[in-house]
Amino acid sequence: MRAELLTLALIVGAFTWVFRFFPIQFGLGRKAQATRLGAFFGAIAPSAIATLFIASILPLLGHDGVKNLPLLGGIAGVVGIYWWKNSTIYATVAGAATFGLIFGLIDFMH
Amino acid sequence: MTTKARAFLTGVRGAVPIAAGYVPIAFSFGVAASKLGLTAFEAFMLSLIIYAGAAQFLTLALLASGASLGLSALTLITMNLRHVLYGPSLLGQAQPAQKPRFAWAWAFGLTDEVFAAATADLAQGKVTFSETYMCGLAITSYSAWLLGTLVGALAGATALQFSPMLDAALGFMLPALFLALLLSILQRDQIPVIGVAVLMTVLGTMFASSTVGLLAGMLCGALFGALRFAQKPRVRDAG
Repeated sequence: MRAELLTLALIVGAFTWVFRFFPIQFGLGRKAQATRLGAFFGAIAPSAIATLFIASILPLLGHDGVKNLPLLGGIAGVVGIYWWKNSTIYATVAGAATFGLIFGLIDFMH
Repeated sequence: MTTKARAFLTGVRGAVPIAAGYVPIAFSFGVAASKLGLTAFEAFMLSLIIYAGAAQFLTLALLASGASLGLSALTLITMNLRHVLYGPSLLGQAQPAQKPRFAWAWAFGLTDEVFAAATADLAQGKVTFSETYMCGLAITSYSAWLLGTLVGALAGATALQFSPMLDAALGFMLPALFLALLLSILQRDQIPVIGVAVLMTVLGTMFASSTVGLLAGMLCGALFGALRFAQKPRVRDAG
């Protein structure tokens, strides 16, 4: 393995571990319960997941309406199956399958 | 079966949707690394050591652009800064008597998806927080990520060329997982927080970069949640 690549991986890996572990080690969330800081940590979950979802779909958005159909279909697939089955597994797979199918159809028609 | 074994298996079961998303995404990473000329061992080591999907894809982009080691490290570290928020949020849901003894181990696996899945399980009351549960969740997800990377890197650069449809479907696995997880924790009073997070993500991405968008969305959403917490007693007093 190239030394530069290994060095980069070790630096980034070490910092990522520090970011994930140290706040737990110092008990930040527990100390903050029932305070404004606690509310801040409590609101991280919905805002983080919403942020990650939006950040992951932004690169898929296009100016051409037809190119957005797989995305719309994929979202509809996730929402529909989650509403029907109340399962994150089925909803995830159904959304990805719908996205792929519509993408394939558009690709085939062009 | 002991309580610990049951908690571990609950974690493993909770990781199934993550693994279903991780294997194809990590497979894509392995293929992309192979396209860039990395060996299967190098691709595998990146997943083994860094274990952060978006950062790993960005690593490939930085390598392709010829960025220096210092700039690449700084960019990737900044990108992963958001992980600081996850541990405290999870720990806030643990029993006060619980003291994490093995967080040094399971925290390594506290990725975006593991955090989201654990939060959803805890919010729905499917589990109570325990380190054994977190280990089950983290180890299964990590294994899926490593397996996907290895298979993708060994399959080589041309692995997904035969089916653009499959390639597209695999690329939508993580957005689909995030949306499903968001639906699973969604409560009416969180909608304004989510709205602020969405708005700030879009604005940050449009006017700065995707990394700024990520940090802006998470921090502004959480800050808005804290501000609303501060206002709630006043509303009650007024009523």
